[in-house]
Amino acid sequence: MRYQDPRLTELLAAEYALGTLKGRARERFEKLLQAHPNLRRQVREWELRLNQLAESAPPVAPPAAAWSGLEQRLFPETQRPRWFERLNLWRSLALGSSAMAGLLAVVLLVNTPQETPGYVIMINNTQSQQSAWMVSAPQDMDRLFVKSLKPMDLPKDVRCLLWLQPEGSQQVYALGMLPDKGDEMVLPVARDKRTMMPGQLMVTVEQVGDSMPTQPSGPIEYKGKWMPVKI
Amino acid sequence: MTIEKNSFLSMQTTEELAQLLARCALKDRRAFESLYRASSAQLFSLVLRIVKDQDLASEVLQESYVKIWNRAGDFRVDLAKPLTWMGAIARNQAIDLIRRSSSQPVTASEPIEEFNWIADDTAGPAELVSQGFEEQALHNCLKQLEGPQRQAMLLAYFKGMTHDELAHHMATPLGTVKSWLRRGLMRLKTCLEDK
Repeated sequence: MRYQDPRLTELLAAEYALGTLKGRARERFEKLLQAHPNLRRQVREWELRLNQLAESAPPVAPPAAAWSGLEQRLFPETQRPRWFERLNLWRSLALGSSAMAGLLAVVLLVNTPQETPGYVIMINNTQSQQSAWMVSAPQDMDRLFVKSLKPMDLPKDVRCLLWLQPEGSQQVYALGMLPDKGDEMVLPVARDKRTMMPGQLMVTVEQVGDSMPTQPSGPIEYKGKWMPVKI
Repeated sequence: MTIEKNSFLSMQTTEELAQLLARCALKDRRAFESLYRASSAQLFSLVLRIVKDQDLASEVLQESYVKIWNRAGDFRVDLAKPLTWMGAIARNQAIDLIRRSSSQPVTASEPIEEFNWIADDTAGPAELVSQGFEEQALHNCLKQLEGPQRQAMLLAYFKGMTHDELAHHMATPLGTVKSWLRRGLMRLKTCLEDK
């Protein structure tokens, strides 16, 4: 068979990887590939050779819809945002803390397609009482959805650290570092801390490296208490 | 407990991409999102050159990342660089699409792209350092090819042109184009093996 001529197979593998084999020839070659490991190896080698070119092309950002489309395809179950992830909820709540309690109730009522219990907490400055973060969590407290409400201008290496003090306890537990630039993020909660979560969340502002210390070493500058919500 | 930083753009070194792929193999969705943020502009550029239509290219890009997610476990760091491996998936996907819809003509009126960024001698030391060793070798070998051989190969690679389309586009007989490609590819291989 002609396909056993190594020069020919090498060339076909190269042209297949380059993409110039077309129509019947391409289909025939793909059938051969299934049967001949050697041919597959040659194609792979050519793909590696040629696809180094991939990095040299000037990048072009894909449309934002590509990512949401992709998410929908791969993880369809996460597509309907849960109430604590809904953006307009955050936007409304970020308006200010004075009208917060009333507003919270209204917003939660407006956003009520389904009944989901959960918790919400406003973390306020201990002096000015201004809200700096809003944290919400589903009932099982497996993660915290954190939104920074007001961008903070912090020196490099200085981070806002989130701590948990369970109800009736003097112990303080580390939860993680908070966003400080007006963004939002999800903070996973370790299994052993989920049941301790009812209580007080506190924030210190400290100079740290990349890792979260186990105990606070600065004063508590922000704090807040959970309120259950059911919508 | 630490928090991942948001600096997706800086996550572009080969090791970091390889790590993200490894985490994707364990079905870590956040790693997948980081991988997408760090690599999608490079892959989209590849796909868009071949498919041309923005919507179709976006479609192909999504299909490519579905494959990347499903096959992340097949990625072998000792065999390929992450972007090379992902690029192969995206290109195959793009080429399959235009070959399936075989009637996507490459118009002769389209200006011939010169691919100056390939054979660019003005790349400073910084760019050269940022390129991997293999990539530099490939660029050097491409530069050693005769102009039309290189041009045909780059048009085929970046535009997904077939023999017929190349002949049409380069206003050259089909047989000549085929032999340009054949000789170009073989010389490229010899050159890379000598490096």
